[in-house]
Amino acid sequence: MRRALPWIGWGLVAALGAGAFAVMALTRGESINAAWLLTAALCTYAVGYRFYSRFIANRLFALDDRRATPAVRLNDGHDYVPTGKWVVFGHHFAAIAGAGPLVGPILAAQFGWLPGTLWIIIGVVVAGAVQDFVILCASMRRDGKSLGQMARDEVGTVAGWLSMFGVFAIIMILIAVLAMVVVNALAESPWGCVSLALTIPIALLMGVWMRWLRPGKVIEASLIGLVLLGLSLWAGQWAAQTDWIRDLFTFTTKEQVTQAKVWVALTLIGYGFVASVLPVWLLLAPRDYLSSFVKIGTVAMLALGIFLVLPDLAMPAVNPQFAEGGRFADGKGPVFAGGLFPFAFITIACGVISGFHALVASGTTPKLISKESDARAIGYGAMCMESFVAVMAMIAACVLTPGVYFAMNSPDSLIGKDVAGAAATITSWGFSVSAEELRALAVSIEEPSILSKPGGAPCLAVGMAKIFSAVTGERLMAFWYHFAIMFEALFILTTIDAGTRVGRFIFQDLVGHVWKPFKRVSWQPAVWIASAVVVAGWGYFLIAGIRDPLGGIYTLWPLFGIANQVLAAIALCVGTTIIVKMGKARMAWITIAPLLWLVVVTETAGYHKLSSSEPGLGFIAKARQQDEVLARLRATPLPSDPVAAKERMADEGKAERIAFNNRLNAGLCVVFMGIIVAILVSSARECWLVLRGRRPLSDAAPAGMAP
Amino acid sequence: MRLALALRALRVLWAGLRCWSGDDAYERYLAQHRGHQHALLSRRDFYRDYFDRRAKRPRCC
Repeated sequence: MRRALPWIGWGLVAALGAGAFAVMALTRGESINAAWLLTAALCTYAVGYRFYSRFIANRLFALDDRRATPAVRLNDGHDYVPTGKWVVFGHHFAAIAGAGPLVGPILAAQFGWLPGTLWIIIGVVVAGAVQDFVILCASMRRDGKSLGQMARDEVGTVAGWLSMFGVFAIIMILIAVLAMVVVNALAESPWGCVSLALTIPIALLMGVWMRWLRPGKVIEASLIGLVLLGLSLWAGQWAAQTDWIRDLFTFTTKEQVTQAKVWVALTLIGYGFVASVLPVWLLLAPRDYLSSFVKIGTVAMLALGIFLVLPDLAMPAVNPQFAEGGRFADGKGPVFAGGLFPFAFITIACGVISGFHALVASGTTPKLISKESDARAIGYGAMCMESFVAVMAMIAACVLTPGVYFAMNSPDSLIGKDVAGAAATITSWGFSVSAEELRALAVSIEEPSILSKPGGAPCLAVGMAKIFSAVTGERLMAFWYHFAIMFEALFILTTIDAGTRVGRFIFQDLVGHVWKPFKRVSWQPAVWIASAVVVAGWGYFLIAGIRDPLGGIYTLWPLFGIANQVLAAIALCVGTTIIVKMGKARMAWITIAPLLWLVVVTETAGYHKLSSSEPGLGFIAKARQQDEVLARLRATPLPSDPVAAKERMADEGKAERIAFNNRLNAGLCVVFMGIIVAILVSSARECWLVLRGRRPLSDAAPAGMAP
Repeated sequence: MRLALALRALRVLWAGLRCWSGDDAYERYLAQHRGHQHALLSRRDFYRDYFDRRAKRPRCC
């Protein structure tokens, strides 16, 4: 009887989860309570963690606490430090969780809440968490080697180079797209801008405190920083209520808004450069503390809020407009272009499976693990937690009515800049919303307008503010909105500065292969040049995205998703090769199954982005459309009136620029698709050689057993 | 009894927080190198290196 008890318990958990899925699947036409999504998610993670991760830990890697980990064997007190399980979990989670799992689900909510939620919950237990866990174990058995090194050693030189290039490209696009989220959230918001700008002097003060005034008093400095952060929110509110500051942020024409966005973008670019060349202790380290604390605190608050409120979802389960005969049946949705398959699976990358995590799971985290068995909670468990963050983001977005959701997330080239027009357009899509409703929402969050703020952050912030103010009262709606905006902007800025720095290291390393001195991280000319190249790289995509009316999130996010999934495919190829080399080819399906799915999804998405004849979806089609615009402009002689002539030249320049950018994006897309094919081929070849006995098995778990 | 348990839990939590944030990194460094001959870094110099290393960790999306 005693023995049967756990099995009965697990049976109940599984049944509960299955029941929640059934409710989710059968709910049509009426609203569903968030509790069902939460139950399905938590039960699935529990079962996946208990059974699947244990299977991988015991049968595949045979994790054994008697085998000394790199942290124990190579303990140098600096890079290799044996650290407690939950502390490493904290490090790992803080490193993998960022804005990605929050933004992706919100954008994918345009298909309704069901497809995205299913992908988030099921995808993570069979794909994302598996990738993180396998790479973590593989790296842990190889002295904490990085993904690039493992690719080179286990798959081949070409794979090593490709993964390094892939990492560099994805960092560029990642930073550009996240910076775009910040730009869209801040350009017209005095409150947000002032609060976020104040976080920089706060970080500087913390830096001086931790380095000179009270060296190493990290918690003390963080507490001071958090208190000042609260004050900066208050200062932002003051700024928003001060006439002359508000006037600075009030724009009447579309050109003025674009110009304001370009200014915010240039500021971010400057910030990224400065943060990359300044000493770490002054800006980067304190900001990282601030954003880590705020991130964990806010995610916990969101969880608490959702569990307390258990809101009903206002979004339909599946958006009928994407079905046959619907308004967006051609796949050109208002939030981003592309049909449910494959683009829902590209849009939600972080939160389900993210190649970027393989960088954290190799190289850094394994150097801290003190017991092999800890890897299960850290590799598999932390990813399930990130997936839960994604589910919460989906809930927060779907608390909004579809009308409000589309008003916030559609570009103004689709819905216009005036509330009445936007309400009419969105109502014509089948989601009734009134101008009054949109106006009232803007007033309640003390912003001039809520229209067209693509990028997810403002939408999530409104959703979070709704949930929080259901607990604390409607009066605090504006405060919670700006709190949420600052929280997102804060850790996006952290990704920008840390990402620029990591990009700089990679670039220095890449050039260092050709010209040795460039590799030295302390050689100032190299530091400055590499930092400039990196910020110029992502800055270009950022500004191009702002200037193209259908650019920005609409175009860049899918490209980012593709890049991230390419990196995941590289990681899974490396994982598969390692499994085969361990002599466990019969268990290689563990990584091959998610790998095949990713290959199908990314290659299909890439193919759509290249070949679609819809200018909104296909890069080439868009470039051709702009060529035609240009040809038509040039067919008529230049007007003699100087003002008209100037306008004509500007139009020509714009068409040329958009055409070029779309060809550039198409080129990147081809490169990404090529990388997948190349890595698949070289990985398959290596596996084949091992299976035929022409390459030795190499189970890298040599070094001594712990005493 | 219950109070003692709560206090212990808090202490464990606090120790974990200090370890995660690096607040106790210098103490751990001293403890590890106790008895070694070579000169130890001062608290200030130790933390300059510590922050540098911490910043090399990638931060994901």
